[in-house]
Amino acid sequence: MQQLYKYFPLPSDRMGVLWTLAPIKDACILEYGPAGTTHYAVEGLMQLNTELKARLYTTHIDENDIIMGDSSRLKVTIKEIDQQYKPPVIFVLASTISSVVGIDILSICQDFQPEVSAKLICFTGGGFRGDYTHGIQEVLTILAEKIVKEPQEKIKGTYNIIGSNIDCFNFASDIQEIQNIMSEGFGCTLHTVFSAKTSVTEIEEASKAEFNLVIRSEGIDCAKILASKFRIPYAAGAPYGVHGTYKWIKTIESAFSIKANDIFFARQAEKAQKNLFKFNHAAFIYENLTGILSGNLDFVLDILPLLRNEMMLDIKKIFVNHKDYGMGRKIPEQLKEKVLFNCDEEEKNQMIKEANPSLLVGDGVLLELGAHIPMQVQVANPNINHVIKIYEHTPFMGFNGAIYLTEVLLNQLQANRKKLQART
Amino acid sequence: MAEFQILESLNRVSKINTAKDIKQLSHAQFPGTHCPLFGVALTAGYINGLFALVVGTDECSYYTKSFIIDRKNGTEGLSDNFLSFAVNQDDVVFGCHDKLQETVIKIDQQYRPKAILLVTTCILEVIGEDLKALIYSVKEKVQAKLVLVKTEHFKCNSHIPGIERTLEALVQLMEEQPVKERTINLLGHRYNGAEETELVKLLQSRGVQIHTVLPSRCSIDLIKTSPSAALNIVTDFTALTLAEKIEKKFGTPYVYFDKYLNLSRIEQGYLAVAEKLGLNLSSEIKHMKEQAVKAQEKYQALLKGKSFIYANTPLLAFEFCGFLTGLGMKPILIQARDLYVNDDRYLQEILEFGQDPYVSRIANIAPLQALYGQLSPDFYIGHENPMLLMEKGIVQVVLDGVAKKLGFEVPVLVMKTLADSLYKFKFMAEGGGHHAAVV
Repeated sequence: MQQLYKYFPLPSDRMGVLWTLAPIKDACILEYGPAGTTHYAVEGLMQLNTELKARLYTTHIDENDIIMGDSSRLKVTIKEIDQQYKPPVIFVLASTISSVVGIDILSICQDFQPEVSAKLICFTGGGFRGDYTHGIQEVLTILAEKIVKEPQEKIKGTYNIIGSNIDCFNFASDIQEIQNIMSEGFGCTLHTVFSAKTSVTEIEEASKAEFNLVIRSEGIDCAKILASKFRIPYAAGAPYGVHGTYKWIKTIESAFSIKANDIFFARQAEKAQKNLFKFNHAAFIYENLTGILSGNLDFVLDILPLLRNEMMLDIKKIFVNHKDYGMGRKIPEQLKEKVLFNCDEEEKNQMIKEANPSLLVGDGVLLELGAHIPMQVQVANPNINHVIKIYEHTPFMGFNGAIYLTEVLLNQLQANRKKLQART
Repeated sequence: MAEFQILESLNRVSKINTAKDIKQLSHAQFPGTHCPLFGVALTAGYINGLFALVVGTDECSYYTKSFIIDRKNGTEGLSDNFLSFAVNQDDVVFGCHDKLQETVIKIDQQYRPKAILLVTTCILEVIGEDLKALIYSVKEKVQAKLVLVKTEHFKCNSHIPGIERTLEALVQLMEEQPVKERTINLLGHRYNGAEETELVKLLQSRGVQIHTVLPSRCSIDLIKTSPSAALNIVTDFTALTLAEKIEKKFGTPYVYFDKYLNLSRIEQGYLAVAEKLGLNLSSEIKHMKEQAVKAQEKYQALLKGKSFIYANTPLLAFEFCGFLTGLGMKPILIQARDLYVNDDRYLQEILEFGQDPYVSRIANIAPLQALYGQLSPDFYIGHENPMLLMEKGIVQVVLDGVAKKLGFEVPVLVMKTLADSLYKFKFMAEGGGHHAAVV
């Protein structure tokens, strides 16, 4: 098992928890641990092209807390936040240190709950419970369990997105694209997003929505809870490519018994198809364009048909940037050889060397490891060189996502003509 | 004015006798101070031939790496020389001595570094993993020299110890050398372009040579031979321990010449350097001081009476505030990390100018943000959300670039930046450009 890294270790569950809570406006997060970890996390958000929307605090911690197991600092700080800011909820996070020395923040908060108005919700993982996907799943599930309230009313034609989180490289544009598809194609309005673009109030009122769209596996349990508690149906999957987006639209039609605007979608699909044809035409003159893909499990499985079937790229290897907990999607039999979970840097180097692809579609580290590979498209984090994403109309999802990726890849072809091998 | 009750929990300058007298504005801190690991990242990235191995959680090493890569991309002469050993649950329970030993050997063989800096983080210190013993057991198996820096944050309040300890560890890489007359090292200067500073330009004009700048222009070989310098000039207080250790071990004298603003202090620093090097620089120093006095008179007219909150600069907090107070400016609140060398003197200077501002611990801006409107300072000196300050009509001044300077140019640039910021803010308020002056 890899423990030595030149680049980035696998982000921990604690990081996933923070990444999922940080964009929730009006949420109050209190970290019980060394201040430096909190400061680092705040700065780390910049790499994810987002900013802190929640209120985030640290208690800091000293030797007395560790040696004597003195947790008074935690209580005093909770009390202060409760009185000063009157938040509806305080999310209390264990740090690695408080977890390792065995400070039971769950019991502390349970005992202390009667003394504060805010609901206290603890995340006790501390960084050793799993990777970041575990943390994301934990938060999404707890939001459904403990924050979403019984609806006073249902708002017709509204939906929630579950599983758009700031660890997704292109979350802002993809949310925008789903909104476009749903409003133009179905006349539906977005209620809230779990959790890249939301507030505590919106999450509390998420039960007012008519249905849920789950776009990553980590959100399935969240959707199931909302289905059982508030009778909100859900559909899982994400729209990539022309065929994939059509399939997704049909799923929504049948899952929620709503009719799509076929004319609108047909026009969109036709436009995307024309552009894909341009790419295929341009790519045809080159000998066997091969690629390596990386990202989180749902992303790579969902985007693969676009790359492989619609762009005719031969994807040799697929790196999933986290562990396989067996809870997510099933890997199709024909892909089992290609899909590799949580590879270390040496393995990736070796496979890049063996495959010698013409194209890398993946995270910043993959692009760095394969710096010599001519065509490169960043579609996932880690965002090693802090690529800035502020314009919210460059999606990977939907028909427009197919068009945008076509444009990016056409430019990559154009820029690397000398390095690519032409057919003979 | 109930909001001001929060300030009453703080001590004023007149009540600050020990570091414990510097109180937090609140128990809940945002964003919190950086930890010593960040201090190591700020320092070790400059050293050619060195590889740093951060031994800690995924989180500590991930964010450190992110910072290192980002800084390398934006700073000339920096390399990405940080590696991570991410500890897992098994390591916490059973220790990781053997695995670490293998890792060190692997790094030695793969990267062929001249030295490896082992960096322990909070978790390693909590479980008591003995890296000193590790170094002892592995040092014969590797060609690289091994040094250790501990960065647990639960024993301190900022990243400063990380800088100090990294610099201090470098003495272990030094060897006895024949001393070269009129050769100096700069200790503690963490910025490129030391040759462009007023101090170095003056010394070079008189034939003095820089052997090395620790850490910003150095390599393992230059560190090894750094005792060949006739004098060490400490340009940042974080290198004082290193200077003392070098003096004790190799007999190299040192002069402490920080990024002062006080003109007399700068003059004394110059005179001390000249004396140690056996140079007569009286006329040059006199001329430079006269120029600085003229600049002071010019800017004082613009700045007198203006109030400020001091948040964070790379300069000495209390020395800086003492100088501005001497210009007739009014400090409302000073955010400080800790008490450092000579701070008692600097605190006294503020009081002598008839001011007694509040003092709070740094890196806790959340409770302060609610008070900006009422405190209504003219200036906010340091990092903050620019939009928030702009809404409150406060001129923000960030002085990161001033840290690259040494000598009378430091106060002159600070005063110029403050004055320029006032003008730019007025321009911005009338529909112009950016309000914050960044130097």
